[in-house]
Amino acid sequence: MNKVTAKLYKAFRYLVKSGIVTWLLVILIWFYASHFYLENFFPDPVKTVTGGWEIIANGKLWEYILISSYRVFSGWFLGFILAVPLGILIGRINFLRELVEPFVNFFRFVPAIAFLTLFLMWFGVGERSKIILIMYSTWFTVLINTLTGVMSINPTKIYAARTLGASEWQIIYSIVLPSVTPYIFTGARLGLGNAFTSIVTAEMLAAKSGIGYMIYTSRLYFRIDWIFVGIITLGLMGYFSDKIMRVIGATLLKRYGVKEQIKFGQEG
Amino acid sequence: MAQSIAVNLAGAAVPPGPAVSCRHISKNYGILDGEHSADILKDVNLDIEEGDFRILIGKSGCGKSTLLNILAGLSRPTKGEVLVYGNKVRKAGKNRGVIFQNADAALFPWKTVRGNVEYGLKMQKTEKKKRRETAEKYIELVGLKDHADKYPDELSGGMKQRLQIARALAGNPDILIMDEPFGALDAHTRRILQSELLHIWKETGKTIIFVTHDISEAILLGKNISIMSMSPNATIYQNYEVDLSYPRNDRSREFLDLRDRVQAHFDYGAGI
Repeated sequence: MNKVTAKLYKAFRYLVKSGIVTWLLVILIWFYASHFYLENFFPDPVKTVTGGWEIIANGKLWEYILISSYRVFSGWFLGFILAVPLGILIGRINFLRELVEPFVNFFRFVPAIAFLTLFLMWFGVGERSKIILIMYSTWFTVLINTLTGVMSINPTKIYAARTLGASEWQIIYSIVLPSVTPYIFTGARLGLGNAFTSIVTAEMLAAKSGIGYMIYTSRLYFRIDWIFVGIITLGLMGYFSDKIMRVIGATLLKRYGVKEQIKFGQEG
Repeated sequence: MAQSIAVNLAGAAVPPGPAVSCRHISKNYGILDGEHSADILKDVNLDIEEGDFRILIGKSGCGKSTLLNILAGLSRPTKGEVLVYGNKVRKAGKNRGVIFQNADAALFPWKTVRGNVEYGLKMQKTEKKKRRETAEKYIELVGLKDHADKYPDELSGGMKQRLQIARALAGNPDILIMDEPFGALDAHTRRILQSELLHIWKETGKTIIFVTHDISEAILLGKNISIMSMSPNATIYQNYEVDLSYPRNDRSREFLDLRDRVQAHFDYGAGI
């Protein structure tokens, strides 16, 4: 009897840890709560799934996922590529850092989306303005993280490399870059989060496709269930892209001190 | 150790004279208490012959590490100059290997033991085969042969310092500069490493400049001991030649006599 309860407890702990219990509870509460309100304003899980099935079957959901992902990842990648060398350069050259710091500290409090109208006017209503917006929201985060990483390198490491005959350029790629890798990685992850936030707003205000567009326009057709589908899709997209990044980081970059971090709200 | 003074370890002809020579070195980090700035080091003069095992000893905060950084070329003196084989030191150079006090900060944690030792040679673009051979040689010399594929975080404190020594030796420097390398080790490990360092010194004939605040360690290892006074205005206060054969017995009368004399400088000595 004791053994059986111990086993049951273990199984229950597993279900809680893996998040299954959490999601069952959420669905249950959602199901229950939806019946206190008009069905058309607050669809229950069943209606959401059937509504979702419609746009999966006609291919619209896939199309929107693809277009949103394309915008997010291309902008994120470009911002990342731009920010890393710049962050290392600014971190290594004191004069440059003093020059740029006030500017950085000013713009870090301006959300990327504040530039949307400007970017639309400057770069047109097409894909370019959206990708540049994502680029902007990513590169700032990656830049600041890279910079922090460079600043926190123990000077002894640089000294050691110097006494072993390394040139300043060799120090950049053989000491600074590996030391900063965990910071760059964290920056990339946070940057991806920003990219998702920005793309949804941008698509709501200035796009004819994408998940953000879907969420925003579904109200016109009175399809609240599609809004639910959009929100769930966003959550899943973010979750899986972050998960993939963490696994890649923990396997390929383990030597540089990148860990598959456990954060609140993420299973470890 | 039997090198003639006119030829350095690499076999190149060098001007006669000491391996390392400090001339009127002063160091000032700028304004201290708002009004007048104080010199950390003031007018340090020091000649170190080739093959010497020179101890720099002084209390904590006396400017020993500042002097070492200047010797290594990592920091510039405010006044004066350092000559290494007659050439003025302007920046760090691979003819001076440095072993840092904090091994965790100095080692490259993303590289294996072998990778750490090969680092300097790789930066010099030494071909791979030669690099591997040299690294193996020094890894074996410091007794890390069975740990060559481990990473620094898998090594004990003593092994990390061995690794630093191997890494510095791999570049074949003429001079080894060591900043309290055994300060953080337990007494037993320190003993072993001290005798191994003497062994390496005899084997390779390097000139060693070794900073410590431990008087017994100084007398156990040093051929010459330079006592530093306290900063501000720290300088070399007195030099002792230790006329005892290796390995030294730290319970012999001569050892204890010298120990007391050095200790007296710390206890009663003027300016220390």
